[in-house]
This record gives sequence, structure tokens and C-alpha cells, in this order.
Amino acid sequence: MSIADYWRLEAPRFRLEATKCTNCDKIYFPPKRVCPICNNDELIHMDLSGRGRLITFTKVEKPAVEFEYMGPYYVGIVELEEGIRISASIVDVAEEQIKEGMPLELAFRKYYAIGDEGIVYYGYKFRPPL
Amino acid sequence: MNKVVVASATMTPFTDHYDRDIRDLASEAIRDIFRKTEIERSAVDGLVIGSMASMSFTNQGNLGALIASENNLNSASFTVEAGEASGQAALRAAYSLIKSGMHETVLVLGLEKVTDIVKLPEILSVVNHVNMDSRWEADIGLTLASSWAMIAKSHMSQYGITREQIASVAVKNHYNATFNPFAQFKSKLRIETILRAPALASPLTLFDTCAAADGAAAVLLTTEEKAKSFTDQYIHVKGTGLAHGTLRIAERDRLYSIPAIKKAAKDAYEMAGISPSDIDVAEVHDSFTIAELIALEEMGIFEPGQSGPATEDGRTKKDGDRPINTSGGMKARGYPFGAAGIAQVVEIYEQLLGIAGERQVADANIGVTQALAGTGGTSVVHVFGTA
Amino acid sequence: MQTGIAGYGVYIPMNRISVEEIARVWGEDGVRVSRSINVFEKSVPSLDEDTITISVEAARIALRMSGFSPSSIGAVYVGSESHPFAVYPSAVHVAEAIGATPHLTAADLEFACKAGTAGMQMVFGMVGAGQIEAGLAIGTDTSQGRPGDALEYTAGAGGAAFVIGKDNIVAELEGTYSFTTDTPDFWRREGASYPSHGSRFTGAPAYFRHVISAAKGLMEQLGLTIDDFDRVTFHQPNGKFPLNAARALGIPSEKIEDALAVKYVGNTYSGASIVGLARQLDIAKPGERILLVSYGSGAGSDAFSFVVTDLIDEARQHGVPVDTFINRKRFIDYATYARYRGKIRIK
Repeated sequence: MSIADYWRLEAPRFRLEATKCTNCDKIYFPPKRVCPICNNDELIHMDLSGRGRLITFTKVEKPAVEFEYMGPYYVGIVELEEGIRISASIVDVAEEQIKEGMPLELAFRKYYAIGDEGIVYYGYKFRPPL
Repeated sequence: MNKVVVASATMTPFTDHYDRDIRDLASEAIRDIFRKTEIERSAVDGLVIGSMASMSFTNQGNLGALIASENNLNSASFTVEAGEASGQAALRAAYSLIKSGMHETVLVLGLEKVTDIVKLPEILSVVNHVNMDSRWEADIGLTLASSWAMIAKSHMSQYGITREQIASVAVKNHYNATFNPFAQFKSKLRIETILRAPALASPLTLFDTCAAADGAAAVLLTTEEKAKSFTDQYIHVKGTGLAHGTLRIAERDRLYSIPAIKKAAKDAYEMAGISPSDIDVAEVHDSFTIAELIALEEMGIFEPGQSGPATEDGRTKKDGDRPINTSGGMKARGYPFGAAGIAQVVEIYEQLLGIAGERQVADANIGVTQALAGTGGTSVVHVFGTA
Repeated sequence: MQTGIAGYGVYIPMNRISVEEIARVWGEDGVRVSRSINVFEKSVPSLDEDTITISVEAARIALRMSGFSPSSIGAVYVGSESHPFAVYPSAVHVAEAIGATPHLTAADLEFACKAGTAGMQMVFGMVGAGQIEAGLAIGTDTSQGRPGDALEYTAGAGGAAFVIGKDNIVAELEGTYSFTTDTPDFWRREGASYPSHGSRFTGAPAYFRHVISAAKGLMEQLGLTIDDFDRVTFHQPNGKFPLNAARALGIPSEKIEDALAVKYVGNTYSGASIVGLARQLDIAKPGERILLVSYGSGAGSDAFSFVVTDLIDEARQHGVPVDTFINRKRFIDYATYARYRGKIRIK
């Protein structure tokens, strides 16, 4: 990540801002600038609900260098209410609690920091509903 | 039309070559091509390099110009990148250069120098970012291993295959590699060792995947007419297919299936005029054990759900009825990303010419290679034949 | 039209370490320590939680309860002494995460443990003056306490957020009064990892003088007596200080007991007095009057008087009770706690 691309993606990363084609109504997350079905560039912004369910998951035991500081951790595929499937970390869940089909909701968490003096990156993760 | 053939093939050993730079590895593979084959460097009018991440691993770009000029090759040169499938994608590019008549003789070099990055989590970061959706997967904590783990879970629950059957891929590939002098690991591996290894992402362990390695592999592509002028040791490139799928695993309809492999295989088979039952030997992508099982099913070598039991029963060993990864595969022969796709061709070249020594498969006339980037971003399949 | 709180929300990380577990490491009698500070366990942020993430979570709950749209939020203030960045506001993260940018003002505040209520006063002032329609004031900390220091038993993590406006009011502001002096009882130098404190000096001349003076000053200003308040919340550096301050003011302990989240989540510094306010709002009946007095070392206290409105019952349906967070917990041992709080450096 660089600060420029982090900045560019803050809306989708912070609050699941998707784009929706004004022609075919298809919702894109990650957001697209152009609907490739309609070739339409007039897409509107909309925040997704942040509610969904867990499709599948695993535990990352050997994270890449950026996420080494917090391993091991769970990741999974989440199907949102809008029917969109996204990958995410699953947090605040115990080994005996995590299971396919469980409801999840949007959480705001830290991804990782660049050293002691660099930027800290934040964005969505998912957790069992409060 | 020109018939395109592979008229020479070679590779360096695949291992951690701490004493060799990316250009050293390239020069040794190129040297061996010209030692083995009666052709002048000046006859090579194209160089296509398949390399996955030389910028990230070694801070060197434009390998085409670098390698050509360092090795006295006066050829049109460029690099092809398609993630982990870079080597096979380079082969396809070279094939089309000759088929179009633009070039006559093209050297295809698979090349990767990985171990200048000495820390595994840093290597993982590069591999994840290249082959996954960097922004929406790797940046937020997913890894290739975690993606394959979720695929393995899906495949197990869909077809009822066992964890042991998945592990048997690695056991088989290590067994095959014991007959390959160029292999990184020539030791046998037991199921229990794999299952008890440190966890990578449940259910997969460290021994379900490959070790870091450096290496180069090279094949010489030319027309059959030209090849006949300097060798009788050539095999035909009969078909090529390349297909893609979404990088984002979350968007796959069925995790246990990888449509890009099926599509690439179908196109390559149709072009070659073969069916899966015609395949005598194949080198397939086994960056993770589960990848080989799914590849064999998508390629039609086994029915869906049958590759696990078939592997466990020994049918894919070098002496089985459907020999797969006789080289030892990426798992045991070694896996320097971009070089691996070309090393697959080296193995098929030797098998079809009957010069594979102890690994030799009987009556090998049709051989296939299959590469994959990530968990299904790009797959490339090539069909080779003795005629 | 009166100003008041339109929505509130808290967030507390789910990790807990017990006072007994901390005492075990330092060879102290955990049961005795726990009794002496009236704290049983404290919250600990996960490795991916900090003042920014906690503030965002609390703000989302508060905004949802308030019924205000993100674009109607004209100010975001985050008070904390553990902002992840010395320069680069926590407040802009919150504003972006709730979708309130760009037409608003935002800033980070620091006044030890009372920066959250300082922000509330600022937003009340702006809303009251008609400068903005609504604003968000947040107090959050991932509190620091030096290993082995008395503070380590209590330094918790959490925060509370308040949407303040003139519509949808669940608690109307009657008045606010502050009592501020220069009193060096607790500080952290720029770049220092842990705060230093004056031990016994943090009591009488610091916490008690300011909290009691602010409470008395507010009552005098509003012409109220202690009997006019049904519920009370004070800054809660431990479970004893607020009870002692209440006693000094002649407040029966029942009126403050419900506010003492500190017993289960520790001292959330900038969040402490206002997590207590949220807990009182969770159970208060319409018409009840609540006294809030914060305390920030250095030192100052902000006192507020709120009257709960009829809208509270409906509004609570859209919030998350403080008890949900108190009960949402997993215990960790000292080694895990040391890792989570960066007391073990792995790189």
C-alpha cells in the first residue's frame, strides 16, 4: 500500500462504499468507475449494509510480512446482504465459535503500520454481531 | 503453415543459489542450450523471458534487454508476466511469434531469482501481491495459502476426499523427484510428516507447499523445417490455451473448481486434436498439493472428485497408469516461479524423446503442461507430441 | 430550542485481564489489590485496535441512534491521550469512516482523561450557537500504564461517542461548568511510552478537589442541590475514587453505582466518565436528571447536568447497551496482554 492508493480507497475500505450502475443497477464492490456491462461511467456511490454471513474461513498461521505482527488470525469469505461476496479478516471470534453460515458485521480495524514512524493503515474486517 | 517444435531444452538445478545472480542463472541455462544443440547464437532471432517478479525479488526490470545483451544474443527480446504462470505464458508468446512468421527461432527462458529476499514472510508478501488481488486480498491480510486452504475445504466437502489424499500428492511428487538429478528435494516424504508439519492455513501445512528456490530453464522453439537442419531431437507444440478467472477468490461460484484451467485445457486439446485420454504424461501446477488434484480434474484426466483417490492409489506416480509430475513437480523438483513453467516443458521434452532416464514413462507420445497463477487468475496449457 | 445528546455509543475491546493475573506477575496479593481499588478486570485492545478504531466503532453506534445523517455532522472532536498519531488526527479517520466528510470541522483534543468532555462542551457550544446542526464528541483511550506500576491494574481501553444536536434529544443539557487549575499530578512527556504520576498527590489536591469543586460549581450555577440528581457519573480512575467523591458530596452510592464500568473494563481514561454516562443513559427513565463530572490530570473537571427525555426508550432500540460490551469478553493471560500492549517488542 502507498499513502496515495490508501487515500484513494478510504471510502470503500472504511465504510464499504460501493458503486452502482445507473443503467443496469448492478452493484460493484470493490467499486468500479465504469460498468463493463453497460460501458456506463455514471455510477453512483452507496454504502453497503455491512451485514452478512460467513461462507468459508481458515486460520492464517504464516502471515505475509505486513501482518506478521498479529498472526495467527482468521480470514474468510463473507456474503453481504446485498449478495456481494468479499474476502476479509474475521476478528473477535473464538476457535469454537467460528463456523460457516454464522452472521457477521462490519468492524473497523487496523490493517498494519509501516514501522514505528510510518503510516498506519485501517479498514474493514468482520466480527460476530455485537 | 509452420509447425512449431521444441528443439532443445535445459534447466539449472532448482535450489537456493545464494552464489548466483539472476544473470548468472540465465547465462548457465543459455550456455547449456548452445552446448547441447548444434546451433549458433546468431540464429536465435527472439528471446522471450517468463519471470514473475524480478523487480520485487531482485530490483531488476527489463530482463529482455539485460539477458540478451549479457549473453551475446542479437535477438528481439522482452519479458512476459502472468504471475506464477509467467513461464508458460512466455512459451505461448514465443509460439505465436514463430507461428505468425515474424520470427524463426526463439529462445524461451523461464527465470526467477527469489532468495535474495532471505525472509520467508517477505517472499510471501511478494507472491501474494503478484498473484492475488493486491488491493482487496493481499493488502488486507489474505494469503495464497489461506486461499488454497479454503479451496481445499470446499473440495473435501464437495467430493468427500480426505486430508490424506491431498497430502498424497506431495508424497508422490517427492517419490518422483528421487529419480530427478535436478530436483531440489530428492528425499521421500511420508503422509504423517506432512500432516504433522507446522500449520500454514488449516487444513494445509508447510509441507503442502513448495520451498523457495532460484533457477532458470530454457527451451528453444523453432520451425520443424529449421530444426531438421541442426537436430533430430525435437518435439511438436501441438496446442496452446490460456484462460483467466477473477483474481478475487471471494467471487468464485464454486471454490472446488477452477474454470480457467478447464477453459485453457479445452482450447489446447482442441487445437491439438486430442482428448484427455490421449495424454501419456503431464506436468501440472502443484504449488499447493490441492492445486494438483483440482488441475487433474479440470483437465479431464480424472473425473471430478476422483483425483484424490487416484493419487492415493499411486496411479499418478511415474510408474502409474496416469503419470503426473514425473519431474517431482514444483513441490519436489523446485519452484522458482517464472522458471517452473519452462521446467515443465523440459520434463515433457525429455519424456517424449525417451531420454528421461529413470523417470521415463513408457510409450510417451503426448505430453501436456499446465500452469496456474494464484488460485485461478491465469491458467496456461500446452500440448506436445512426438509427431 | 435546547441542545442535548441525540445519540450515544461506546466501544470496549473484548480482551480482559484480571487484576489477580496482573498481581500474580508482580508477586502481589491479587484479591487484596482488587478489593482496594474496587476493580476486578480491565479491557485490553487487540493488536489491531487503537484509539482510532474504538472511536469509529463508538461513533457509528452513536450516529445510528441519533437518526442524524452523516452529512449533518458539522464537527468531530476526538479526545484522547493515546492518539495513534501525534500529527494526523484521529478525528479525520472517524469523519471519513462515518461518511461525514468534507463539510465539517474536526480536531483531536488532549486534556489527560477529560478531553472527551472538553469536546462535548465545544460541540454543545457550536450547536447552541447555531454554527452547526449537529456534532460528534468522542473520548477514547487505549490507556498506558507502566509494567509494575499501580496504574497497570486499571489502565483499560474503550471510549464513548455522543452525537449532540437540537433534534432527537434523548438527554437535554441543562448546563455545564468547569473547574481548572495547573496541578501537576500526572503527565506524559512527548515521546514517552508511559505516563508518570504523583501517586498519593493524585488524590486530594487533584482528583477530589477538581471533581468536587466542579460538581458544586455546576449546582450553584443551576440552582440545584445534590438531591435533584437521580443519577451520577464521575471520572473513574479506579472503583474507589468516584465512590469517595460521591460520599464527600453527600451522594448516596446507589446513584453512582450503575456508572462504575471501571470495575469490569478498567479506567478507559478519556472514555471513563462518559462510558459511565452511557451506562446511566442505558437504564435511566425519562425525566431523570444525571450529573456528569469528568476529571483530567493537569488538572480540570467538566461538570454537566442532563435531563433524560421521553425519546430515550425508542432511541435505545437503535443503540448497543454498555452491558453488551461489558459482557462480551475473553480473558487473556499476562503474557498475551504484554504482547497485545507492545510490552514485548517483536520487531
